Amino acid sequence: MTGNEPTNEIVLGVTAGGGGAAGAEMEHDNPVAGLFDDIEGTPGVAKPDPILVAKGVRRSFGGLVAVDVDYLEVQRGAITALIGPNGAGKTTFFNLLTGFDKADTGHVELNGDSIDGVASYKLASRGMVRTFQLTKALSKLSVLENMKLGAKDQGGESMAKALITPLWRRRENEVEEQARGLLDRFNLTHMSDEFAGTLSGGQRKLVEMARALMTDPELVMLDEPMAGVNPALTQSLLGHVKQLRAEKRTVIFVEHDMDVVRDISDWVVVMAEGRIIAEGTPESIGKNQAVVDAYLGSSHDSALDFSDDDTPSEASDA
Amino acid sequence: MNESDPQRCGGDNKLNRLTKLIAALAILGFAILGLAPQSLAQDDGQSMFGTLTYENEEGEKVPAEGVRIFSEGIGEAVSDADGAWSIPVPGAGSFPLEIDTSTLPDGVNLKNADRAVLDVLVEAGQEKRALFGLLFGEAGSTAELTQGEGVSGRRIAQLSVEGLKQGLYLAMAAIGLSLIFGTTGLVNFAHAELVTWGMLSTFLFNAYGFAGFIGFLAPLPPPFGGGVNLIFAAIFGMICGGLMGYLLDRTIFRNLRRSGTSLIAQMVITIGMSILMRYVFVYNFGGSPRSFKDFSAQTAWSIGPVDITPKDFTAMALSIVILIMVGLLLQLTRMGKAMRAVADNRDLAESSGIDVQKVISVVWIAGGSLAALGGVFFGLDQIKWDFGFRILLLIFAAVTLGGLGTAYGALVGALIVGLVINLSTIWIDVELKNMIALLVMVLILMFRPQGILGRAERIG
Amino acid sequence: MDWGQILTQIFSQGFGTQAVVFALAGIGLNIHFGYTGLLNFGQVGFMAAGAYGVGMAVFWLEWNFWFGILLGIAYCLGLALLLGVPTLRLRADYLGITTIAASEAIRLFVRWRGNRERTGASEGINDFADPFYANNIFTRPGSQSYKFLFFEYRADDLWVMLIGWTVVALCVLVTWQLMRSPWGRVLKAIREDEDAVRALGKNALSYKLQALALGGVIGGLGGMLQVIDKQSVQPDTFNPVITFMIWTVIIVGGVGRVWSPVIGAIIFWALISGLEVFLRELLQTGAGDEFEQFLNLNVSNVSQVKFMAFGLGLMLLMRFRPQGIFGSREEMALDDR
Repeated sequence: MTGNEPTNEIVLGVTAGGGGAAGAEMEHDNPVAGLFDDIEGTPGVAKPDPILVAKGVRRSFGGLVAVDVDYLEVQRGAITALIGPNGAGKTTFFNLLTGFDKADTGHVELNGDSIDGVASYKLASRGMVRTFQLTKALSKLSVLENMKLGAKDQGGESMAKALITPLWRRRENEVEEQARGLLDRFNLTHMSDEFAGTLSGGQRKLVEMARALMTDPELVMLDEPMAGVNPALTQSLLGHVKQLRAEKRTVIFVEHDMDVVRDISDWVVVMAEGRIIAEGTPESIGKNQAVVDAYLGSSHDSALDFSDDDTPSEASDA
Repeated sequence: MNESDPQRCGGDNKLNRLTKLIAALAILGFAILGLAPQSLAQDDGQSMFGTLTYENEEGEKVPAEGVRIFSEGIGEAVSDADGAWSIPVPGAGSFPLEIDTSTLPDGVNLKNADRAVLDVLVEAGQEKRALFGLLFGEAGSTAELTQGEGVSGRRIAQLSVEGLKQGLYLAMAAIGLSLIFGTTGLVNFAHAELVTWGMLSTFLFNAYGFAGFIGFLAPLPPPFGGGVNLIFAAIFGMICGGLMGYLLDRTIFRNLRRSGTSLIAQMVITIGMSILMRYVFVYNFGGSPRSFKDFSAQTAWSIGPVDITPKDFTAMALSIVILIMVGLLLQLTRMGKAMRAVADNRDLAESSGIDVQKVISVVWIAGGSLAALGGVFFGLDQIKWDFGFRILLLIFAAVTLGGLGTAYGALVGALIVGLVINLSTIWIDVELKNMIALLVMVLILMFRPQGILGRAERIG
Repeated sequence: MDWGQILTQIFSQGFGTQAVVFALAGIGLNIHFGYTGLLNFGQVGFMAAGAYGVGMAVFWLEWNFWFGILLGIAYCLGLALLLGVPTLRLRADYLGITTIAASEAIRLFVRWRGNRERTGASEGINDFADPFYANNIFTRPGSQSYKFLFFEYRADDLWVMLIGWTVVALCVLVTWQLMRSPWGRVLKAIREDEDAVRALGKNALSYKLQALALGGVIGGLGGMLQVIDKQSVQPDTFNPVITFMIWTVIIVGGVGRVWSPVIGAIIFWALISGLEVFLRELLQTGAGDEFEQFLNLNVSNVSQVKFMAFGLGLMLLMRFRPQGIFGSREEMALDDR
């Protein structure tokens, strides 16, 4: 892992050229580099400093058990990838963790506190924010308004205060400044007054991620952040995800593309048929027989090339 | 009707063709039904009317003559030898109507002593029928169990049959709505107008033959110029219903789907359509309730604890047969499977070679003819221009109860609605029975929004 | 053909009491659907709640008329809670069906004979609004009617209109201020995608409930004004067709725009009453006898033609100009619902 790291950064420095300022910032250190070296890659293994813990989380739809996770810890400050063939229950598990769906049984802890049955909207104030597989850009709001929506502590979001402009104007200006800063970082300044509905798929993903950052989250949960994004923008998005780690935020993301997973994740969790079948570093996971079986046994058609000389630069060309 | 025909035909000739065409196109509805016999559309101001009858000791229906009926400040009437009475009213509104119980024949009483004063709501141009239930002997010993008081086995049985009847008829209307939703995602507010359409076209054919639609055929012999038997008329009504369903889909909704109009916009369009159709109906048929020429008055059979008229019995049996047939067709035929496939996943169905537009057309045709037949069965009791709209929410209740989009769900939901509203009258005032259905629907949606047979949805 | 009479009708009705009522109900519905995306097909239920609040306060509780207005508002808030808490979680189409069902349930309940002492049942409540007219500044001895240009109103109508349009102006102002505030931003975001809003830490359900309550109360004010104008609360005037008319009103003006319900209401009533008086004039003058005979048009079914035109108009509007008169086609195209 540590051996690969410098390669990553050099490559990113080159390929994220479209990312401009964002690309330059990418060369920050990985704060959790080397942390996983001594951890054994078995499902349910304990981590040094877990931010999120799921115990016995189970959800079924009718007769079908969509999620059945015995135990999972997610390391603080790291990028954890959640992978698995189609229908493995990744998105459902995501929904359960973020309060968008309710588990039949089980417990989830965030920073040591139980978040069982806590409404999804309350999790943002506890430092957890998520994005969606199908991007939820708010089409008929401008990009800037999309961003401002993410802001915390805007008193003007109460109906009574909303009636009197001076009560929220000052905070609104602060929020706007923060929003413009983030738009700048994500290279979206030129789009800030456009309707979000006019953006391309990749730009929407960027807006959604930037909007999530408006809440200043500890834990960012990205559901397929690269889905439907053109290759040119992929590197830029990857850079932004790494930037989150550099800012000491925790990232969990669902992904199909193994190259992306290898490139940016510190730890990989593999799900199949609702269960976690493997955990480990990106290097070790490709050699895991259970994972290979799960993928080959399904009709999933994404590249599963774990050859040892596979480098991120090739990945970006592919 | 016949007298007015030559006159109108004369009028037709004086108009040149182009004007006629433009006129016909300009007002859509008139083009469909504008040629209906003129007499159908005539309303002689508004009035309240009714017929007073009761069953004597021998169980024969006899008219009550010489009974005074009055409306304070409006007018009064005395029933004639047939028991008929009528009081004209000055305009639309709600009028108190009272029966003078002292003028009732000896030994005859009101079935329900509380109902000596009625509130009669008369709409503009409407002849409103008002009912005073009479019986020979003391109130309470009545055979009309649905109107009785208290809980008894007989009453529950009778109400269950009534509920079953209403549920079966509702199911005919609900299945089409549910299938259309399943295959296209559209909530069709105009579906109830297909029920009315079936009812009215059957009535026209039953009473006037083809002349009911195309006036100048009147001098010809039946079925062109005269009425036909209700059974044939009902088949004709079903065809009309299917045709209307097909035309609506073909001319309106297929285009909307092509142009990518959102489902909510389509739903609002069906609302507009429902209003348009309803007022085209009242324009052409008038506001008065009517009944079919055949089977209008029947004495009830007593089967076990239950009284049921032969026509209701036949209609119920027929609807059970038809509903089973619909179930079998859905389950066994290629088209039925294709329908379910489209309802399950439209894109997948399309990519596996199913002609989705054709399937949707068939769904509309089947939905339209089933709704029309439901209308015919409902019409055995009453035929009215806004009948469909009045049961629209019951249809919705049935469909949502069972789970939108599932045919079997609609059937189960309809039966529940029928039974609930009828059995609820054991404890609750009859006036509130439809409200009960609506409340039950809201409750079910609260706790099981996917309906009884619907599947839970996944988020994300 | 008396064109003066027709124009007088068009202008008088376009700004008349009915237009005020529909403008208010439309402002409420616009907050529901236009800004928050709530598919409320039961707006007439809120109108009924407001109307019966005033009526029942005077008729049943024998309160002062002005306190009745407070009761009407309380009814609307109660209805919003009762309806909103269980149903706002539902999908859009389910919500539509539930709200129309609720509005019908209200109508059936108030006209129930068991409620005769409270709501007047099917007879309704009459002559309860005298205190409202006692303050009429337009009352003058002699002539009771005012006429200028193409406008013609009774003194009482003028008074209802003065109060009514003032309330409309206030409601428009409040809506404008709220919708440019962060609160309005959250509503609009909910309209676009509720899950995204929840993920960002906003209690979407609470916002939807607030929107339902606010729009409901404004609709209730419309209902109150309607029954004050008629001096009569009739259960059957609160039927679903009224809700659909209000929908037409906001679609005409352009959904999700502050002024749309006001402009929509004026245009709607001008057109509808213009059509009716035109047809009546046509019948009277006998100018189109053959045409009338061909269509079976007569005095008693003229008003049905009005409804046909309304239904057809709604269909055509939604098909060919769903963005309304002032909306932008481009913005509408962003709508992926």
